[in-house]
Amino acid sequence: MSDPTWLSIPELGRSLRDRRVSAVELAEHFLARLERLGPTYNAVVTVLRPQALAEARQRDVELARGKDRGPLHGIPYGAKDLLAADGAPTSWGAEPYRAQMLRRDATVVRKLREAGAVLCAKLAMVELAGGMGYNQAFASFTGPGRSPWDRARWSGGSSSGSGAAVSAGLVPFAIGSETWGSIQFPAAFCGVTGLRPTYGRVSRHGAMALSWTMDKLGPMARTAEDCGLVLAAIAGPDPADPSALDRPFAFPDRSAERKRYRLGMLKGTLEKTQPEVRRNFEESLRALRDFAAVEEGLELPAYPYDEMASIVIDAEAASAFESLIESGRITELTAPEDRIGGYAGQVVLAKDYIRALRVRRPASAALDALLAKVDAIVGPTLPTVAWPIDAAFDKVYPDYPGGASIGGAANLCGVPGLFLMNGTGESGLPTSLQITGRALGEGVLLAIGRRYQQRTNFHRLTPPGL
Amino acid sequence: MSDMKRREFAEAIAFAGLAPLVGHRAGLMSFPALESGAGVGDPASLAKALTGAIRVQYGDRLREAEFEVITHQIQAALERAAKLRKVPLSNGDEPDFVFSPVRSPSVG
Repeated sequence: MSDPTWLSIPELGRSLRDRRVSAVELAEHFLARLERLGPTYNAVVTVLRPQALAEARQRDVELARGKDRGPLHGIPYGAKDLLAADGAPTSWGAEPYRAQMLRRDATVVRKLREAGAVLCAKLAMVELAGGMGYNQAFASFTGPGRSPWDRARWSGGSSSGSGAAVSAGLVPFAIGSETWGSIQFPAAFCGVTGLRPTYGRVSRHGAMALSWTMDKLGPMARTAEDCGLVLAAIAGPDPADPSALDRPFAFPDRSAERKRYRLGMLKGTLEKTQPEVRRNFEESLRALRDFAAVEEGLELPAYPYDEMASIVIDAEAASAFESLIESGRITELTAPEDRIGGYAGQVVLAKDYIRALRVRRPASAALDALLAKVDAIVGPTLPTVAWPIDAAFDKVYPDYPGGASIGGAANLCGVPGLFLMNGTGESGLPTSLQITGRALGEGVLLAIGRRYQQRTNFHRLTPPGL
Repeated sequence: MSDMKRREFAEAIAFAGLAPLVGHRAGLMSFPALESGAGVGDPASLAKALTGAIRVQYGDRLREAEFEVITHQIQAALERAAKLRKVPLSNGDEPDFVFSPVRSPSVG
């Protein structure tokens, strides 16, 4: 077959079923890329060659016998190294856990195996998913995540390896996680499609906990369609995770398809963004208007979303990592600021945490009321292209902090977001479009994303030299 | 901390940038200088007092410069909490979690 590196999941699936390629050949192809190119981007923690080839052989046997597990049958993938996978270390990106062996599979890993996908690698991430307050790209024992578009730029975090691996064609798709921005940033900086599902849509069992009430797991892939196929495999209830919702999700979701959609834009969303980001977003609006009406000037209900999210994360992370702090091994973290970033959380006042949980309730209702007025809210995913890898985050692009953003509110309130490359900006680096919707509205977001990607070709662009 | 001057570090963690989980511990961009009396008395004093709790537990492993950073982080967190107090809540406004005494679907 032709080079499978940049093929979508359906394209790879057709090749497998037409016997133009075997699952073993696909696994070999992507394992070789992971081994050869993974270190270039500091994207990989562990390549699972023997396990992947064994799984791939089994998938080939099954297909030969007529057993087809569905769209992900035989498709290689990588998992952010906060997901437990039996037989491999699960490092959480952090030196103190580098050799940690969790002898079980996360529910997501189990579900993907049942769907036929082949786990090829555990992928790099920012240590402890960024929960200690990192301020630089060099915040993982694997080194700073490097964007395949320019190794001198950050791949984003905390799902750094997931974004870079998909972007560089090391895997067709990957699983990332987001508590606050950790799929959004690498999707944007690496120019891939990322989906942050509704909180509870995907079981968190077996995933490192940073914030029990804000952590979400989701796919990163080439296209919205790919993300939908992966989400369909990993969504659903799980007795091991009480927060996992028993709400059906099928892809494609016919009920989400409309002749014309209603989109909204936050007032001021384009303020203080790089000119290229603004230009590309306006181009995106032109494509979206082919099948959607766009209402401008929406305003987020007035709640202190970012403040609530910070308090919730501080308090929950303080408990989640109390033993790390108690042990003193927090000093082994890579970024200097992370080594002391966990102490302040130890004295978050209980009444402040509880108040944040109480205010979140009316805030979520108010946000839902806004989102109910439209099918989705669109905006630039980020105000700039990928940041220079050696810059302190608080020093990068000071002229472009961005305008009104829905990110903090969306993460706090657990609503889904889809991120799609929508062009190139400064230095030829990717820019990205963000689509945010109501809780459990992934079907609508994915339908809009598919329509957008049918009209554009940015998801087909590949980093230079690859 | 050895490779970063104390002041630079304090500025770094206090920044207001748009970043994934970056700066969430410190003063975010929407915050003006701390106002005293924002619902918790003087947050600067409270931050110092809470730093004392850290000092009691972990004083043997942290340096003064690090305590200074931690105090700054605590103060910023208190400032954030003060923002939340501006949202009116009644006694019946519950936190958004539900405790379930049932641990197995087969029980009961």
